[in-house]
Amino acid sequence: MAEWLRAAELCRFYRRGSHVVRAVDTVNLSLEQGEFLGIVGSSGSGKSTLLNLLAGLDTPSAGDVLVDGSPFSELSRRERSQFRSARVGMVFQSFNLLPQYSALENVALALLFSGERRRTRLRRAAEILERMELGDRADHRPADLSGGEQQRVAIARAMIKEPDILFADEPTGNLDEGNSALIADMLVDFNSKGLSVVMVSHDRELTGKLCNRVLRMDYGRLQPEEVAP
Amino acid sequence: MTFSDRLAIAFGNLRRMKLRATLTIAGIVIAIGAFVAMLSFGAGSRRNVVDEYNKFGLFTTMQVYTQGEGAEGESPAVIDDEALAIFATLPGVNLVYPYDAIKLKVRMDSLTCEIEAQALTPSALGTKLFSQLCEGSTLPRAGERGVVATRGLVDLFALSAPADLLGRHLILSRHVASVDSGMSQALPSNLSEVQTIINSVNSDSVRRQPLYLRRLVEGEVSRAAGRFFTGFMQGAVVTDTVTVVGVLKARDGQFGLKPLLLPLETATTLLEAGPSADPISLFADLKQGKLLGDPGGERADNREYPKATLDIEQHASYALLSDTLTAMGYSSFSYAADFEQIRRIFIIFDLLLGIVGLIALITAALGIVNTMVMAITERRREIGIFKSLGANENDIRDIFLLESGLIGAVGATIGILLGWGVSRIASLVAKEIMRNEGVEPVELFTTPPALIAVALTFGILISLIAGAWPATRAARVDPVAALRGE
Repeated sequence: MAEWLRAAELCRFYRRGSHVVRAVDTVNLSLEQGEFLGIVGSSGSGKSTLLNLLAGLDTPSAGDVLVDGSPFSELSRRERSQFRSARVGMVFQSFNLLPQYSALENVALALLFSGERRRTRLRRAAEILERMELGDRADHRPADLSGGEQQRVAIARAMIKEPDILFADEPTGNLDEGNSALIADMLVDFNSKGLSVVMVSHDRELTGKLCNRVLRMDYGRLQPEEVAP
Repeated sequence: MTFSDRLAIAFGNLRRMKLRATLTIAGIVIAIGAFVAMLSFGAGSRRNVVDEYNKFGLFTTMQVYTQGEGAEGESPAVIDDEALAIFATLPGVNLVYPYDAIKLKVRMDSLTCEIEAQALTPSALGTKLFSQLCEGSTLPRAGERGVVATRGLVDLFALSAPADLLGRHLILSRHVASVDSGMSQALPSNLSEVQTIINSVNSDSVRRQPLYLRRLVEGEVSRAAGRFFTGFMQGAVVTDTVTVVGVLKARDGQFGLKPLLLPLETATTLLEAGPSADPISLFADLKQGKLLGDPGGERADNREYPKATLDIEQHASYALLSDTLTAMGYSSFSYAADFEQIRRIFIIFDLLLGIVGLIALITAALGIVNTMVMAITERRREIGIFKSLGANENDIRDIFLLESGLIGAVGATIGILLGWGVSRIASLVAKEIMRNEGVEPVELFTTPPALIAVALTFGILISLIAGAWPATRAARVDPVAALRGE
């Protein structure tokens, strides 16, 4: 498989008073198309920061991320937004749905920044919710949905754009066992259809089961040894 | 992201924070309302002055005066019938009439008062300045010797209303110096007196005392001259009876008006009776050679006037006319030029009112800043989600700017309605007060479409300026920190 995404000497440092936090420290990583990559690590190890850097949501202190050989550093802010809008899907532990909108509107929101017309947005959102067996919950607000349903809506929102890659940050972190399994199955299903997935989790067992490759993050550094799936 | 998408999001956000948005909008409403009401008052005041000028035709009126002294070696230019004829040929001049004031005694019933009357040609009486009547008309009915009065005459005769003067007969009298009267006093009144003088001059006394004779003759001539002058000054009183056919709205003194306006025909009858017996006028006439005719014989029928009025065309150039008159040796005054000064005062007045309104608007704009800054704090997570979904900084900035703009647009629209409503109510109240005070009611407030456009633009513009900084801040929110809930 061809290399699609690559992190080269990637660093992200934060200043906390006089102290510098090395959240991501000289990470080198490559991802092939259709790969399901797991990144495990304890809380505060820097795995979410790495995910945000790879998604173009955060700007590295040093190093670069290359997509199809093109470095992020050469993209303007607008181009990076376009990249996120067109090619990246993101799923968060806390779902990050907007409480004022219905499930349908939350899903349709992902197409807002790609210039789709409102009617098309809503039609496509309804279709994907139907496919994810949430058709009857389309008009419900997030507060009226269960955690699992909220995460499925969040995944629908990420997938409606038909992205090249899905970044999932602890997607099952707030879910019970049954819902976790359901979400896991969904991710595997999407990956089996050619979608590249990068999932960060503290759950080694889950990542072991789902991912083609798992890397361990410790104090901002990716450990060279791979954890066997 | 289309404009309608941004608008829908902005509108939805304002709907979600109803109370805060309403209070912020209320600030704009009050500021714009005050702005509109105050500037409506300014516009109304200006319109009233312009209407007044138009009503009396002052924009098309120019006064010409003689200058005190002529150029070096030249006699000063005078306003006489010849000069009036020349004025009438100047470009843009429709009509010329002199200012001809006559001192008269006016008697109505048992009341008599001394006034100055102004003689006017029928065409002058037809101009706008003399056509604004509160009662009657300027043109007398057939066979009527009519005059037009100003409201000053109503006051002089202590009448309660201008209508009371209408149709009343006035006896106009003028005291003139008379040669007949002088001669009658200078000459001995009967033959016996002449005989006495002749008897006193016998041939002996003449032969023997020529000095006595000379003294006698000189004494008699001197006494006769004294008697002539006394008789001349006592003169005669000429009278004419006229009827008041109209009363002008303007008061005497306003626009240089005298209490009574006489048709030239009536004035001529009074004037031709003889020179004024008023010593000052008499000596002035004597000095100018008017009583016994000018030595050159040119001025005998050529009257001089202190000033003349030019009724000019609407679009005539005042500056050009003024320059021409100056070159001819006259000075001039136009109400249109005078209005330029008034217009400057109104501009300053409007600016002051506008500044007060603007201060209110800026205060209200601070409310917008506060509202939008709070909105950013509350919606950081939303901004983070939008950015994670692909929103760029412009998208976020535009949404917040639109929210400010919507606050401004809604506030300005309601504010304009409020300002208009307040000015209508204030106008009604003011008119009622004016009616109660016996003053002709005028519209104090005017809300021209341009003011509405300016208020709406100002409201939206100030709101956008107020929202610009919070919107920029919103656009720069770090999505990672926002999603982490920091």
